[in-house]
Amino acid sequence: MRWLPLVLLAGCGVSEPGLSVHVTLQVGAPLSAQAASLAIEEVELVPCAVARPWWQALSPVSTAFAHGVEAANATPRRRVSPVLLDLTVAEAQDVAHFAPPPGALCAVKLTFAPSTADARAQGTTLFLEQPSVRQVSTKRYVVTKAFEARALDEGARELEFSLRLEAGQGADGDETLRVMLGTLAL
Amino acid sequence: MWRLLLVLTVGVSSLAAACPTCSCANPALTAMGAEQPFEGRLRFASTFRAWSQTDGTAEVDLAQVRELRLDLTASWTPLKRFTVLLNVPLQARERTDVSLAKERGFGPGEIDLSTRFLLVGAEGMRPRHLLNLVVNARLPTAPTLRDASGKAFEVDAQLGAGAFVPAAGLSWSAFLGDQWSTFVSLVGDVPLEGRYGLRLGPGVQLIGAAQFQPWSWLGLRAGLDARSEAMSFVRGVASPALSGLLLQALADVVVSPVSRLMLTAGARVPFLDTRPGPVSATPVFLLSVVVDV
Repeated sequence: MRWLPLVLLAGCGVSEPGLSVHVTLQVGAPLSAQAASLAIEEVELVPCAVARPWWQALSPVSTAFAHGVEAANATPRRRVSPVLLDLTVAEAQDVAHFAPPPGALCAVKLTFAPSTADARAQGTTLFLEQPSVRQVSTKRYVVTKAFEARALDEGARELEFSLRLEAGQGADGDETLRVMLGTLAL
Repeated sequence: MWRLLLVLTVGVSSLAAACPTCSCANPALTAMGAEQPFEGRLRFASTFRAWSQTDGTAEVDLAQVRELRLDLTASWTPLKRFTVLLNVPLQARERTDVSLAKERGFGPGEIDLSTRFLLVGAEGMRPRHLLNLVVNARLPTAPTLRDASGKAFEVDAQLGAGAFVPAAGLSWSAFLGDQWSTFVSLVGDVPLEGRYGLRLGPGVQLIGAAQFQPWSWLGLRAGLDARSEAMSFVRGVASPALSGLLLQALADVVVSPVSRLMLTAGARVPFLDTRPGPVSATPVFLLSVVVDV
């Protein structure tokens, strides 16, 4: 009780973490190569479609969208932070952390595109260097992995999505990339 | 028995002479700052307010701030033309961001030290008009709130901008008979740079209210509370989101159950907001107790 005046003078603060979503990716059968990397430029959590209430459907006034925010291309459900995955390690690798608004999620959308994050990848989407062969691809792929609706709200404050990709190899870089992304699973 | 009667009579007379209405012959139930000053007048008030504000875009950067605030105020008139007022707020504030992360803070807010110089109305027992020059300083007394890890809270979760804010203006009270009174105050402020490099834009606040007292113990007050704020800057970069004009209707019920005590319940209801935001403010509800000593 005698500390009360001190607390009143000093003030006190407490914080409570919000909702969070963690996306990881694990490489199955990692490659034994000098260097092998896969670039992810964007990760997006796709909310489930929500039916508009009937009174909004009747409204002649349409919903306004924040164009400035869209142009900036970053929202709490979309990360535009480039990640370079190492295809030679078997451990799960961090892809993105989100602090999104509440609402059910129905898919994860990944954009594989030429790396802007790391000079080692030399501006490629796929970079594979082995003693006898070098494969590169600069193609861009957008892969959406849908799943059953997962609630994210006061009751379920944390979600984790673990993706898995099999590291195969094709005749050239473009085919290798296509083969690998074909195996992407949640 | 006569001695006792004499003591009681003297006691009651001195009590009556000390009552604010008797000392200034003005029956108006006045808010802090609107009262008729007389030498030695001492008033204390505590005002409880509740409000909330939402700004940002839904599902993108929406944040809600809610606050409960208790202002402890003392006003003293050492000379008839000079009144000094001290206001110490205690605040409990909660900020919830778009991901439902919360920052909760409690502590002292920013202390206001205000002086009033009576320009018109010092003459006579019951002047019809009082015109005051008001000079005010808001002090950056709110501590920077942090969580358990030492991370400082967001700027709007803090209990104040952490800036020195000088202000000056005029206030005018008019007393029309026993039943009607009005109060108008126009004060401009120029905040200096505060916490996180935020410099709030210069602002002007106009409060105008009329009060009707059907009985000496009951007042009904209605009016306008307007604030216009110029562009704010964060580390020199313009931040227009919360600059603009906010108009609120004010309505208070004032009750004085005994001569030195005044209770007020009221609301400030926003009806025009030109701040580009997106921002929306809820009505402010207040309860106040004023005691004349």
